[in-house]
Amino acid sequence: MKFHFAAAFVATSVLSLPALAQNYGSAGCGLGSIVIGPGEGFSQVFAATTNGTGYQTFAITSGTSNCKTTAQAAVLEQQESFMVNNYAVLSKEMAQGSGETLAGLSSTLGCEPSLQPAVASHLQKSYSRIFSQPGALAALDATRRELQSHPEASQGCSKLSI
Amino acid sequence: MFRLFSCLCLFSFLFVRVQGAAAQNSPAAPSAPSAPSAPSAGSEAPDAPASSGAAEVEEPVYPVERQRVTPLSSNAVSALGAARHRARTEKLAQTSRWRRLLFITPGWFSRSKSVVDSDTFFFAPDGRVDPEAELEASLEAMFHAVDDFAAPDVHPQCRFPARFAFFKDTLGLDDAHLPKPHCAKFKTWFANTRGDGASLVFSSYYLNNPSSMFGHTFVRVHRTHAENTTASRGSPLLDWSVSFAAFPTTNNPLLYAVLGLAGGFPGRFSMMPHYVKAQEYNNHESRDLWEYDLAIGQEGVTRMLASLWEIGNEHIDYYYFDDNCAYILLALIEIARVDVDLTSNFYFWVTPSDTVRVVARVPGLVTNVSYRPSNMSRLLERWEALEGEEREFAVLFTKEPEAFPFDWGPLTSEAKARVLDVMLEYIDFEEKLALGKEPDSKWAPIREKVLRERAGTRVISRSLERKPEGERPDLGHSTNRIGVTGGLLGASGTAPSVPFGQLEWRPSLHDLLAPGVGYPPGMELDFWDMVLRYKAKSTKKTKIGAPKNAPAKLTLHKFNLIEIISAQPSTGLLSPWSWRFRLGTEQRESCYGREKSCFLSGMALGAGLTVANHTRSVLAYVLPGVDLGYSDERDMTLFGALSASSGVILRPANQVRVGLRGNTVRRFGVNGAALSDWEARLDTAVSWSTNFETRVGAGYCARAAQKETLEASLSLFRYYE
Repeated sequence: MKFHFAAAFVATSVLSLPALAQNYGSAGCGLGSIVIGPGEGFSQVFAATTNGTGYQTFAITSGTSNCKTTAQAAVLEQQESFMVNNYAVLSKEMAQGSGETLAGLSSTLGCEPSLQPAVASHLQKSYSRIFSQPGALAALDATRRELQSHPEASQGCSKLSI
Repeated sequence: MFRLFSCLCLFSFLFVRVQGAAAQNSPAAPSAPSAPSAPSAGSEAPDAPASSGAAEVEEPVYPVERQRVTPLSSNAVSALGAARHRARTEKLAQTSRWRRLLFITPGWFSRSKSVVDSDTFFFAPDGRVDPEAELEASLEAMFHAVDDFAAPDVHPQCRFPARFAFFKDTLGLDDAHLPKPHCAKFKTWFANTRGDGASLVFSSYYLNNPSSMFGHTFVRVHRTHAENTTASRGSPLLDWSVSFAAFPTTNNPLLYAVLGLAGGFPGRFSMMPHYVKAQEYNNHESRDLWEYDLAIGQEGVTRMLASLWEIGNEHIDYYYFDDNCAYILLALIEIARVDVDLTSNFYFWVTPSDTVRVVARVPGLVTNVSYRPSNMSRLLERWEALEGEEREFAVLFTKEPEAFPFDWGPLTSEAKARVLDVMLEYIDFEEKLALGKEPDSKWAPIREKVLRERAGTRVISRSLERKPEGERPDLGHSTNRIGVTGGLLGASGTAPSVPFGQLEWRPSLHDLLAPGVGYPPGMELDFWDMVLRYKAKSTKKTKIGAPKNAPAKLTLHKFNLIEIISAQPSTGLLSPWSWRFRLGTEQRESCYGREKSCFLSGMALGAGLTVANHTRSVLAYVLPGVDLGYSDERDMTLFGALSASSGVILRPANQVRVGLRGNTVRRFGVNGAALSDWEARLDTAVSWSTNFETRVGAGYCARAAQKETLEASLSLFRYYE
């Protein structure tokens, strides 16, 4: 069998992926868009990752993403993907004022590790403002805004304004 | 015996490695239809010469389409010659480092060969089985002119960066005589994935999915971030996880099992953020994750990634038991750590937990073990932190969630926060919230209210600290088991005893009386449990399956293809279903309507409840169910049955287990006959070390209220990889 590596590479990393991504607004580039997908994303990820089932995902990360990203867009992508995929856990940990996933989020926001307790506690206080609009991306925007208004976080988190 | 024989035939058929139709399907099924340039015709005519390579008679099938052949400069020719000479003198092709790059495994019934099935992975026509030819062909390919290829990215140096690095390391290739393609795609990919460490991650046993019952392993690459700040290094959730799993081509469960065992599905690598894997396993499937940090350093990770780039899109038939996730990942770890030997520990079966033990056994290879709890483990930990009245609120919430918000009475904010945390974990567990999934319309408004009230308390939750060392998979017994048993059989009353001896082999995995360390409590998973029994000659008439003067006899006493007991204890907050399943055949010493022993084959399915004390040192279950089967007893050729299987398992110490287990069955034959069977066994298992155990047991069984037999036995068991 003479399977053409290059063709397969191009086919999987370029042709198939934007189709999943095109309806996804600002997260339409990169990993987040692929992992999440519009609407049916969950089952797709489930299929992708459960051992026993499968999905051709290796090529996804063979290029950086669907888009020619700038460094900033890559940061945004990571924040969005992280927020969307961990939405339920993050809303819980923000309400609790602590948690490892929340620490992960603050890491994507460029916050110094020493700031994490302060960040978590501030997000707990801001809970109702962060979740005043539905959706993970709205929550991410609100989270960045809330941290910008926090004296320490606005200094200690390097990726709040993208 | 005929039935047993046919049974075995079926199962050995499963192990015939069918390089079947499924393997011919395009490995990249979702995208293949939209890939007009893929020369799919190639799969129809594997031996046809490369279309553009007809200029040379001996043109091999190149992994990467070489479009023209530029002659090498004389300097390059001599450099290649010198390198080839050095490779031959140093017998480089026989080194484990080279063989590992080709993923060559020892063949137990045939030649050693690579697990990679596709020709695109090899430069030499028989590169799959001939590492020497493959080394020479690969080495030569590294010298091919960049212009020979359609794009620099498909140049052998770019397509096989691990081999290229290997040649540079071992043969001292001079850059001056080598072409220098710009490997843009590999470089971008590598910049994005590079890491400075890695962990082997074990995802705990998941009995509800046949393909996950034995656990699963994958590798987390500790990411090196472009901005080298401590903040970005902080969260392992942002690392990459590399997984190898079957890519099924059918949804039919039966075909799935057959093709899965027979290697009918291609195996595929995937690479995704670790938070996706953590969400999937912890929160969707309720499986704990154990992460073993490996001492492989940046250089090792680089080698591993380069190799992964080479093999990532290749085609590997996925055999459930050997070329599986666990094995391939060990091979990747061996590439990172050339000085350790992991894969040669395995001969026939590879279960993921065995690979974890093999890795943990190498001195210094594991530097740290961490634990990531499943949603169920988190719920239990939060629940156990509650006291008195707090528990009542939590239980009330599980019964009447609509009644929330509650009047908390005198509860402090801290106490309220603890209860609300349990409620949140309860909702997330019930709804399996993961990967952006939203709660359903019943739970969404309730969860919202609980979250707001929780945030309003301003109490910071204490972090989860439970780490059940006793369930660490590397501390558990190995999964293969071999056993020797001696005992006496007797009938009730005065009949004399008949001595018997048994040999047992069970390749996988764990039973309720086995050492509990390293396994979740209440789990039994016996796969391919096979018992041969030898009965001595009987001189007098007995009632125990041996007429007077019966000759000594060796029989297959038991063959359970699979037996599962999932005895999940109720906790006061949750009452999960416990269940069992068995498919197999068994010899009975006392049978209805005949003097000789008989065989019962079939399946049993049951569901019920389990209770346990807090430490799980006492566990009791009742699992009523139905059986279907056939036997060679009179009137019971084909039967259906109602059954109840129950047991009490005591673990007074880690080294001692006592089990009292019983089964009562009411069988209904096709012609209207009905029979009752009772069986009970009392066993005591004592471990002398992790992998060595003795069991003393006594059994009683009655058939149709008239034939009673007793059995006493002493067994020695040895677990091994």
